[in-house]
Amino acid sequence: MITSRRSAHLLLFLTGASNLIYELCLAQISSSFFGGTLYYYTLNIGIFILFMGIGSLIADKVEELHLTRFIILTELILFLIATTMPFYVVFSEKFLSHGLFHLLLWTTNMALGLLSGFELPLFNRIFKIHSSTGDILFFDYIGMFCGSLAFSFLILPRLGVFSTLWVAAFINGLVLIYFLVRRRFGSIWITGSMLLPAACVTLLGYGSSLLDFLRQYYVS
Amino acid sequence: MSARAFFFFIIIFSTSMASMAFEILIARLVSEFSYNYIVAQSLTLSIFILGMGIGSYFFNFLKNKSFTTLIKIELYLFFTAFVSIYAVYAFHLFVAKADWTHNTKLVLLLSVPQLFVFLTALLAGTEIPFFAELVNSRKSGSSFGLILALSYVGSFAASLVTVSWLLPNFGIFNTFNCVLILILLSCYLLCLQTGKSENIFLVLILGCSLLTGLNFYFAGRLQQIYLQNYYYGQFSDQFPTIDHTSSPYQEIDVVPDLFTYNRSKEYYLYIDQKLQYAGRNEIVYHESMVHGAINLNSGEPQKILILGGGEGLIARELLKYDSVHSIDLIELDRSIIDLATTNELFVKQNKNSLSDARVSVHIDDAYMWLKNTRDTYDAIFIDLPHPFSVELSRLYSFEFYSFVAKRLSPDGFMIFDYPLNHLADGQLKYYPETSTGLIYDTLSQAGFNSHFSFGPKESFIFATRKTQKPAFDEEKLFKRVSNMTLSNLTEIEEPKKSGTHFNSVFRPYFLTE
Repeated sequence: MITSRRSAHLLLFLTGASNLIYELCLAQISSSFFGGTLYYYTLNIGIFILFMGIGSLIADKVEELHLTRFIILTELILFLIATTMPFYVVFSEKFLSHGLFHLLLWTTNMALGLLSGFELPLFNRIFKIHSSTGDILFFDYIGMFCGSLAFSFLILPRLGVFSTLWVAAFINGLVLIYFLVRRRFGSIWITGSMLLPAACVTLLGYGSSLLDFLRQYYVS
Repeated sequence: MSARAFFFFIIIFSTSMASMAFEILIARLVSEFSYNYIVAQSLTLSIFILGMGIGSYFFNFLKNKSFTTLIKIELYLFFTAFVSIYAVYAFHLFVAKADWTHNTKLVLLLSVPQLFVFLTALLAGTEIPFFAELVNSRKSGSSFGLILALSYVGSFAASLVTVSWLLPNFGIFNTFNCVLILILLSCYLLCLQTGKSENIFLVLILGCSLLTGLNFYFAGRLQQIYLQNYYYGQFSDQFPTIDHTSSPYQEIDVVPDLFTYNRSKEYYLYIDQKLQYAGRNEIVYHESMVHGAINLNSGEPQKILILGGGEGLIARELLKYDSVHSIDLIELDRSIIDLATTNELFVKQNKNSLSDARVSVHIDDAYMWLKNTRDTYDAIFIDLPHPFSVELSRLYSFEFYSFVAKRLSPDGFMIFDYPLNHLADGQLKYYPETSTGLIYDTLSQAGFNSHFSFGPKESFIFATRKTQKPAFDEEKLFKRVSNMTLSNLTEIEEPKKSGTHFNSVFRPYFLTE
């Protein structure tokens, strides 16, 4: 697969940023529902990182031939979880017991951690022709750094936690399109995938009405 | 798996665990100093990650990529971590005493400790590609993915062990010492891996172990030196001991009053170094809240819910009414309840109210309790921190007040601490109307049709679902409260409402200065 050095770095930066935003969003959602910000932040970040580790191990087993397909699938699932999460969190909180709701949030955390963990080793293998391991880690970490700053100072205070998830999902949508185009998938696939970031923009655009609906449902 | 590979994995695991635990501890200190949890947590995490990134990049320029260099990096890591704890605490004392504005202090307290986080992460970040390179060169069969996995598992172990076990059992000073031990363990194992005796490193490791041992031995005294300098301005063996508790949620300090301690044993309660109440002044706050609210309401409540107030002082005032049949008290932090029921200063102050048969204590988050309970109450007393950050704004949100409204009987009322003003730079400062007005908008949105604000010194909002115009019955008040409290029981003007915005968990607004 042909991948330029610059675009490789940009992709690493973007996925790093979205991973960290997921990590902090999950911590924020848990502490919003259960209280104890310091406790839930530390625990959520820890579990997310643990599953990133497990993801790294699994990613090593992926055969060279299937690397891009695996990345595409990873980005797609990440996108789907992040966009639907506000809805299923609010709805399930209504129907599930306290314990099961806890379990659902932890499972989501683990799933997002696992999928995010796939990215770095897979990118390492895809981009190793262009970049050293040090470079790859560097751009991933810089992405995480910017994602974290953007989360606490810019996105969360302005949009709230659920819309912040949609911003991160938008990034995954873009990465997905990049790989579909590079892998020379058919035009139907590419056009179809364009709908994903468009869906995020729509969610963000209609965010306030959607959030009103969710809010009323939540307190009803 | 060969013995060499096994040692190698332990080194990666313990180094990652130590560096992540260090990040958690500094984030905790910065949260405590700044009282702004989300910014402190995410800023520290981001600086840590930035340091790791630059460290990985910096690895490319290292000329000597041998075990000896790795041991040197580990030793630098030890010294950085060792110096950090003293430097961060000393810097905090320096800033606390400086004559700067609140905002300047906040920016400095949020940013300067990050220098140590950055340095530690820089060193730890250099190690992962180092390990990857060493593993490759030794053909141990391990992969980059496995190294990342071990590093992530180490970080997870740090987050689990530090918050749930180390901090509550050992306190923050000794948890730092445990981090130092982990780094030393990695150093020692690396020395064993060099395959030849590196005497100079072994001597250094021995010296570092001695330093850590001394740190353990003097941890209690060091903590008192810091706490007394912070709260009293100086340290002396003659001063009473400050009781410090690290709970999974917060740092709690019970600070005896220097002037009255020997006579009346008065004290101050600080949570994350923010004053909760002073023993001698709490009476105005708690009498105003309890007797003021019951006086404004037409009838005396029987079934009561207290959210927060784990120190037992609201319960103390409520138990003065014979009409009160039951009180449910919800407190998130068990450590506060332990203090209120076992610490002699607290028990004396709250008249052992939490041991009264009418009081039931529940350890839970107030928000979740409200959401899940099916009980209704005649009165709900809310004693929670002011909403000056995203995480605290949920306790003043549309959702929270909606749950309160649902749990109130038709004639019931709620009362809460009105965040009208706060102390900054030693002066009383008022929040702008745009911020305080939002609270009224949020209350109206949640179905509270009447609100009454009172208390120029200690401010409260009394709210009911039914429409009414409450007023104080002064004759009854005289019998219930002290003269000091009486002067606080006067109505205050409501701020202008925006009419369009309100605070919600889904779209938070919080108090700004």
